Amino acid sequence: MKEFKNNKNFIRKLKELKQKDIGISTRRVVINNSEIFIIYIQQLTDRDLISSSIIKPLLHFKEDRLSIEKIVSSVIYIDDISIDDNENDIIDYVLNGKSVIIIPREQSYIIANTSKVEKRSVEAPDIQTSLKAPRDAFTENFQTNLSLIRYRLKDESLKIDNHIVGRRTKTSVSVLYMKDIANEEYVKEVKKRIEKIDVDGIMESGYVQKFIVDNVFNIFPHVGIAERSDTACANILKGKICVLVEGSNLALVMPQTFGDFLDSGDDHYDNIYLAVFTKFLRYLSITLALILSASYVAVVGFHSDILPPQFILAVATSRVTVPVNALVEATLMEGVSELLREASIRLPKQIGPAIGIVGTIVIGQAAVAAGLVSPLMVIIVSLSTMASFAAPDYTVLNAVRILKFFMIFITGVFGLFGLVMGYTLIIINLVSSTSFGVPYFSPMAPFNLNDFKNYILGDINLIKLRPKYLKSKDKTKH
Amino acid sequence: MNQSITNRQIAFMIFGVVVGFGILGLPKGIAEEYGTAAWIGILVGTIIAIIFTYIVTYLGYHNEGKTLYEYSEELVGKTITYIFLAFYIVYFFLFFTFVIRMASDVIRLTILINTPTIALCIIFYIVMYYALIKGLRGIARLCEFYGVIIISGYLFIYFILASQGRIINIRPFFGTGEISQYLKLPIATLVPYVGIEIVTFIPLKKDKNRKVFKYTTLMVAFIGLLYMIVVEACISVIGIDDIVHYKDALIATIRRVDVHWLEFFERLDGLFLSLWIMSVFLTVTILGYGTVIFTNKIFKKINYNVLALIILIISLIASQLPKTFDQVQFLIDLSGYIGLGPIIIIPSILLVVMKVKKNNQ
Amino acid sequence: MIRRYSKILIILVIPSLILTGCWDYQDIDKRSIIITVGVDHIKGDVEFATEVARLVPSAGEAKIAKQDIYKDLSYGKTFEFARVDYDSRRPFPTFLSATRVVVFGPNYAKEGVEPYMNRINKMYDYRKTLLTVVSREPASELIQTKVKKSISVGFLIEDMMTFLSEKGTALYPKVGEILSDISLGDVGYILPYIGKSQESIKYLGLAIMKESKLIGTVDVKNSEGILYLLAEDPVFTEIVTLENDKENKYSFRIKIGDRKIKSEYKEGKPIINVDLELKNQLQYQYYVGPINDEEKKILEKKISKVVKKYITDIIKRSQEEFECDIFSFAKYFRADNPKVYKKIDWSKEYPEIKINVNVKSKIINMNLSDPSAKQNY
Repeated sequence: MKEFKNNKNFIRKLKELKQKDIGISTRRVVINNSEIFIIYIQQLTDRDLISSSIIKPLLHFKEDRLSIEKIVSSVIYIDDISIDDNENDIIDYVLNGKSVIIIPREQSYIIANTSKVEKRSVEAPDIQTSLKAPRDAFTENFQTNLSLIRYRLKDESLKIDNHIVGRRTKTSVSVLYMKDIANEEYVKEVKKRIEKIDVDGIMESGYVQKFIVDNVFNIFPHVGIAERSDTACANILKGKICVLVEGSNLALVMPQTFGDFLDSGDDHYDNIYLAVFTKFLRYLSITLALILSASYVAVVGFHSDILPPQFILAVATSRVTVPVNALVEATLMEGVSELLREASIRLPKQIGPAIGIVGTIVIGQAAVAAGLVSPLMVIIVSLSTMASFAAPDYTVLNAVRILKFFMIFITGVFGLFGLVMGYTLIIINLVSSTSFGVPYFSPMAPFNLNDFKNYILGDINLIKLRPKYLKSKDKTKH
Repeated sequence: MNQSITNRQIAFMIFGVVVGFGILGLPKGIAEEYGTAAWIGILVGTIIAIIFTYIVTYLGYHNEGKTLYEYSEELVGKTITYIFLAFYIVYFFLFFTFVIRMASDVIRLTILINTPTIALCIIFYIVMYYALIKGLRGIARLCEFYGVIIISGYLFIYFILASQGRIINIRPFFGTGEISQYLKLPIATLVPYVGIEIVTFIPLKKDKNRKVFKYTTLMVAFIGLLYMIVVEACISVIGIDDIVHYKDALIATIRRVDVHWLEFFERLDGLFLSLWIMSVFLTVTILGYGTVIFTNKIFKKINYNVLALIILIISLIASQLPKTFDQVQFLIDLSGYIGLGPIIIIPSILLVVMKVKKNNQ
Repeated sequence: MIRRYSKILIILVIPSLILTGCWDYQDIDKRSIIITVGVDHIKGDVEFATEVARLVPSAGEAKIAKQDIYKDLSYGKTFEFARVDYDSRRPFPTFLSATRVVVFGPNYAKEGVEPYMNRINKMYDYRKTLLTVVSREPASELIQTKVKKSISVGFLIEDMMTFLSEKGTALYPKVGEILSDISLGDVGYILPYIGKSQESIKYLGLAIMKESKLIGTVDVKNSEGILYLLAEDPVFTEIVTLENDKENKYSFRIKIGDRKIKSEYKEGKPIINVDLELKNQLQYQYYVGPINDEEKKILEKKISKVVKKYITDIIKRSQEEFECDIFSFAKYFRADNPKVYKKIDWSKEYPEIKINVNVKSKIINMNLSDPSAKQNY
């Protein structure tokens, strides 16, 4: 009696689903007078596969007795196949691109993985470009991304923990780490935070990032992004944790310190002197981007006396025609340069360069010629804008772009004192925050000589130890 | 809350709190007492400071994970501990309050002539509050990072000064040569070291901070060396007769030097003032933390952050009370002298009690 | 909870400060940049004669302004009144940090320049490294000179003095050093002496200041003795001849190898010993002829003698005419005998003290020439 009821339910469920208008297709096959239903969604499945590997063998099946087990073990050609008996899960399977095979009067049904997702092929990276680095960037396809990582890390201790996040999107989120390297506390913390996410949809890894950071209001990013698979793998090997999100071409890397944002992967195998030099250059550029305009305001508006006399006259004469004061001038020009930058990101690729030309020539040249800004200001703004492109991970400089204005304002009121205090405020934020328990400003504060040396040199041949601040299980690099 | 910090951080915190406002007038103070034999005065002061640093560190180290409040309670009982604590709190409070006021006054007199003092004070307090709510670790890391910047910057400036000075100005090296001159030990030599007692509120761990003695004493010795370089550099540039006229002897010295080969940075006063503001900020932040954490021991129920806010607001009001520069100067000197109590007397008493109790066991 | 409040507090307070603030904000182009200051006493009034940078865009082209200056005068009973008078002529607040030179007029210099030195010291925006000079003509006249060699008198004087002092033929005393000397009390100091000549400015020599008062000048021709003792890394040229051939002159470049000033206290009298070691380089001979080793020695001795004479002459003059220790011997004496120095009154003792000058010289090279070359062909 119970059996009968169950059978009824599968069919009834099927009819229910058909009425829901979610585009479910049903294929009815009759073999030896018994009916078999194959349920799938055309857009999510490989229809050739269904015809050739499911329908064809079924139709060719000539034996009399047809059971679920028999079909699974001897008839269907599909590799990924399973059996379930919960009628309410049918809808989820179908929505995930699987085909469900129902035989009336059976207690359970078959799930065959026939999903096919339209995807683009592996292409070169767009945002984390580098000269001497592999060019296989992640794509939006989850499986491709996993395969790219698996391909590079052929180690059995690479753990891939899957989580389903998003009430409605049911996105797969994978936590990848080396079981015998990564510190378990951090792994646990990351998993805990991912499990805590309660939201209707995850479209991009950025969604996940938003939910798992320590403090939402923090201005500096605390989670790194990896666009290239080699960056992701190098970070996993370091003892970090990588999070892949279905449908996102950017992997997340954590815990990420401030220094890591300014560390490009190819530093580690480039010329050692060049690596040190570029690292210095990047720190210089981040400082310049932050305080250059503010210093201009401080010097022109407050402490012109700290300049040598000939510079004082030069600065003064260059500013004679400028109708506004230096504070307004700096704010205005920085604003214009930010506007140009924002515009050129949103523009289609073909017109992007045009904006660059408009920005440099028209605005710079014309503004100086019209006497609206001083030539020195144009130089300073271009320098600080240029400096704000120098980091390998652009997200960290987004914070600097905002803080730049804060610095200009506070300097505009308090001069040098304001400059120093504003800077202090930012440094306090940097040194006191943590990324998943790792001090954000390590290895500078807390200072660790070995880590610091390794960080500055960055040479893969000289680094024998993994960074201490990551507290990895396996301390050495062999 | 796990608030243990590394040896290096402790050392830099000592640097941060000791080297601060005082360095401005240090050359004057020492030169007034010792003349060209200033380095001897600093040497004597440094040795005494090292001894008391050792005592304070010893107390902290042998009372693992405890601050002064906890181990003093074990050693001398609750009542006396409260008296001690009150001493520390009053002294920390007075010191950081009036250092902020004084620093704001100096800034106003030197670079921001028209800006009201209270505005400068408010900025100090805001940034300081932000640092305080980050807790001991945040402050320690800030000290570590800024310490390196300040030390390298200061050394650069002092060597430049020394290179511009004349050797004839620092002679005779031994002053007038009278022994009594070296023996009088004016208090001016010890006041620059006020601040080493901050070790009392840093909980030390025996396993992590084993080498802490080396770090703290060496840091104090290094500060002594730095002081020596400063004073000698200033005297060599300005001369012993003139330097005693400047309360801001160091700025006065720096302003007498133009370094032509540095081109854009020919004048060093901008650089120096930045570093000096940083070091003043470290001093007041650490002392402010001391005030809040010790007050928190008495008023355990009040949340740390709220208490910090209350104390800073009281301090802001208090800092505006003195009307003249001399009053502020007097209060700073006063708190400097009070400070000798927490450095010398209280740790000595506690050390003796601790030794006696150990022997009795 | 409080964390969030504190953030709101910060967000509220900072902008409100910004909105009410900018107390000290003053753009550099909205200030009167003073280049030269002349201070003088005219009929009982303090006179300020100044050169100020004029920051006006040149006509037609708005892009880059031309550097230009204007000059003016102001008067008052004291510095403060003169400054009030001065400020009332100004379009923008005064800015002194770019000041190159302070010129003291002869009247003012004779009355004593110490007050103005102290003023420079304590005015925040004055540089303590600026140059002070004494002029032969009244300061206003010197500053009103229309110079063609440079855009302003101040620039000209500063450039001239920099060049001369680098060459070693003039002194470049900074205000800071002079202030140290003033506070020492027992010593005098020396300022450059400038005058008008051929519608331009000329360096005339050195002005001797005793107790900050002008008591005399040393002509540039006679100033070598002072420079041998005081200039940093000077280079001189001296011409000497040999007895047997008066026509042939030897031109030497002379550098100071070592300058030692030592002092002692014997029989109630301070004694100063000045030891100079000179390094000589033969530049050229007027007529090329052979020089043997003996002649070299004679030349060396002659140079020593000449230099010694310069120095003893000027020391004698300082003791007898000026009665003032302009060479800061007091510092050396104090360094060696601090206890004695405390007891004696140096400025009274100075004219009486014994100063031994000892000059050694050595020819270190002949400028790559070999005048006694063999001619064997």
